Amino acid sequence: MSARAEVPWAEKYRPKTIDEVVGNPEAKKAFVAWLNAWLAGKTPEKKAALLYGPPGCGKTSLVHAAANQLGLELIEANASDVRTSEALKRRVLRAATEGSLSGARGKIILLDEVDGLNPREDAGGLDTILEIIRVSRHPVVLTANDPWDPRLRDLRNVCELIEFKKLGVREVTKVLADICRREGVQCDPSVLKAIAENSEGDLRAAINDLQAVAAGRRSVSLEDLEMLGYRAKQLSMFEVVRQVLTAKRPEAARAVLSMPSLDYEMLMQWLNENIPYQYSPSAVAIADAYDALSKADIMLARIKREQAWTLLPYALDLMTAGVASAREKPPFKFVKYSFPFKLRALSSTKDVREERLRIARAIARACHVSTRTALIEVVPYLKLIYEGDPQRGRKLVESLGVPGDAFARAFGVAVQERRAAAAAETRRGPSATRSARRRA
Amino acid sequence: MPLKFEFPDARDWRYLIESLQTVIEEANFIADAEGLRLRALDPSRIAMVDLYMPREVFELYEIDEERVRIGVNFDDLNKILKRAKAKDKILFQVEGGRLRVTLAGKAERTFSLPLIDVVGEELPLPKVTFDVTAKMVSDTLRDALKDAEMISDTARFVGEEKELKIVAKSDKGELEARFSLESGSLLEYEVKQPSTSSYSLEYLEDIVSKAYRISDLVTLEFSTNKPLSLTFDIAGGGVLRYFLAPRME
Repeated sequence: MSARAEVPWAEKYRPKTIDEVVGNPEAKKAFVAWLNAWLAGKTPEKKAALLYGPPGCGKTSLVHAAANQLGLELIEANASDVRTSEALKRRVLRAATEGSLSGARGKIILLDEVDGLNPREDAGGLDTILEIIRVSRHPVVLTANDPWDPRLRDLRNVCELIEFKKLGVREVTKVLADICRREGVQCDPSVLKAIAENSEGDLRAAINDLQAVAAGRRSVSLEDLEMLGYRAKQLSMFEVVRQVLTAKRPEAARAVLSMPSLDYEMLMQWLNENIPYQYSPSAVAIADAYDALSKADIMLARIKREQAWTLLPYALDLMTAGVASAREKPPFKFVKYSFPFKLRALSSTKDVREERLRIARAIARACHVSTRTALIEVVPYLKLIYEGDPQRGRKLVESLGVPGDAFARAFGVAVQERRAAAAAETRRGPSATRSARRRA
Repeated sequence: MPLKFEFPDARDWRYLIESLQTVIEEANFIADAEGLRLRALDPSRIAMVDLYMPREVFELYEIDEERVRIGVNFDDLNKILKRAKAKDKILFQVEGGRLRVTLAGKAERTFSLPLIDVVGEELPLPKVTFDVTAKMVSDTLRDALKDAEMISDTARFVGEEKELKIVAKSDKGELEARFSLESGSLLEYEVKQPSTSSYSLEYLEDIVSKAYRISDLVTLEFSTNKPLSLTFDIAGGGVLRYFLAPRME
C-alpha cells in the first residue's frame, strides 16, 4: 500500500501520448495542428496557444502527452507558483530564446494557470509573459480556467484560443475503470459512476477521489464509498446522530462534517439527548461520550465568548470523533432517537418567557434598575406580596405600569385563599388595620 | 563521522562556490569513495554545471558510508567562506544533518549550518559531439566576452580552419575577437568541421568571470547550433565543466 499510495494516480496515469488524452477531440486537433506548424519550422501567426476550460479536463495533460510523444523538452512553470516577473524571467524567459541542452528536437514552454496571476500583487508578471511570447523561439502554451477575465485581454490577443469542454460522466468513468484494471482493484461500476458524477467532469478530482477510496484495497463497494463520507449528501438529523453514535471508527463519525450544511449546535443538542439511549447499559460509554461532548461545549462557548473561531475544528472533532471514541460501547442496536427535550421545553415556554421579559423590562424602567436586577431582586418580592395580598399586590404592580393579571399569569402567582381572605377581613375595620400595621 | 574532507586553501572553495552559483542557488554534493561530485541544471534548464573533485585533490578525505548527500544553499555557504583569510585551511564535516565548516589559520573557527533537502534528479550529460575544440588562457576568454558584452547580449562563436572568432553584433556596433595557434592566443585547436553557434552572453560572461579564478586554462568545445562546453581543470585532477544551450536564431 505504501508505495502505491505515495504516487498520485493522477500523475501516475497521466496520458503518455496524444491519443491517450480523453475527450475534447476538436481541441486536440486544433492544438496538434498549431504545434505541427511550429515543428515544421513555420512559426504560426499566433506564437502562443491559450488552452482554456474547467479544471481537470485535460489541458495540461495534453501538453505533457504531446511533449512526450514528439520528444520535446517541456519547460513548465505554474503561474500561480512562479508569479513574480523576476522568477518568470529566471525560469522561463531564458529558456525561451535558447535551444535545448539535452539534445531534444525542441521545447514546449508551458505556463499553467495564467488566470491565477494577480495584477496588483504580481505586478509585471503578465508583462513578462507577453515578453516571453514575443521573444520565444519555441511554442508557448498557456492554460487558464477563465480566459475572459479583462486582465487577460492583451494575452488573448496574441494567443490562439483553444477551448476545452468539461468531460462527460461516461468519459470519466472509462478512465476510472481503466485505472482500476491497472491497479488490480475490483470496483463496482456504481462506485465509478458515483465518483464520476460527483466530479462534475473534473477528471483529476475523480482520479484523486478514486485513489482515496481504492488505494491499498482489493475491492470497493458503494457502502465503502458512503462510509468514507464520500457522498456529501444531506442526511436528516436522525441519520447524522446515528452515524456519529454507531460509528465503528472515528473517521466515520467525522464524515458527517463534510455535509454541506451541518448545524453543529443542533447536533450537540441531539447528541446530548440521545447518548444514553444508544449507549446504555454501558455507563463507561455514556460517561466517555458526555466527557467528549462537554469538552466540545467548552470550545463552542469560547468561540462565542471570544470569537475564537480557530477552535471550531476542535469542537467539531470532539463532538463527532470524540463522542464515537467512547470506550465499551454496547453492540449496535436500533434506537428511535428523540428530539432534544431542552429544545422542546424552550419552545413550549417561549410565550411565557417573552411575557416575563416584557414585564421585567417595564419594572426595570419604573425602578431605574437593570432588567436582570428587576427579575432577581424586585419580582420575587412583588410575587410574595401579590400572593399574600392580591389587592395590594395588584395595585403595586399596576403602579409600576404592569397589568396585574399579566403579572400573575407570567410568574405563576398562587394566591393563598386563606391569607387573602384574612387580609380582606382586617381591611374592613380601621382599628384592626391600624393594629395590624403596628404589628408589622 | 560519515564524511570529512580538508582542502589546503579556503579561498579556492569560495571561488568554486561562486562559480557554481552562476548556474544554481542550491544543489547536492554527492560524496563517495572516489571523491566529490555535483551536477545541476539551472532553473530554466539551459545551463548545466558538472563538478568532479577526486579524493586526491583533498589533503584529507574520509568517508564511512557508501554515499553521502550534502544539500547546501550556496548563498549561505558563501557567507561563511567569505570570512576565510588567505592561507586558511578549510575542513568540511558532515554529521547529523549539519555541515560543519572549520576555517583554520591563526585561529580555528568552526561554523555549522543545517543541510537542506534539494530535490535533485539524476541528470545525464548532454549527448553532443563537438566539432571544434580550443584551449586557451581563461583570462583571455574573459576579456573577449567582456568586450562582446558591451555590444550585444549574444556572442557568435565561429570555428574556422585556422582561427576561432567570437563575434558580437548589434545596432551599437560590431566586435570581432580572433584567436589562433599562430598568434599564441590558442594553446590547442582542433576543427573536425567548421562550425558556428551563438550563446547568451548573460550566462557566458557570468560563468567565465567567476570560473577563470579556478583555473588559468579553459577548454572550449562546440558544434553548429549545439550546446557549448567549457572545461576548467582544477589542480590535482578535478574538473569543473559547464554546458550552455545554444541561442536559437
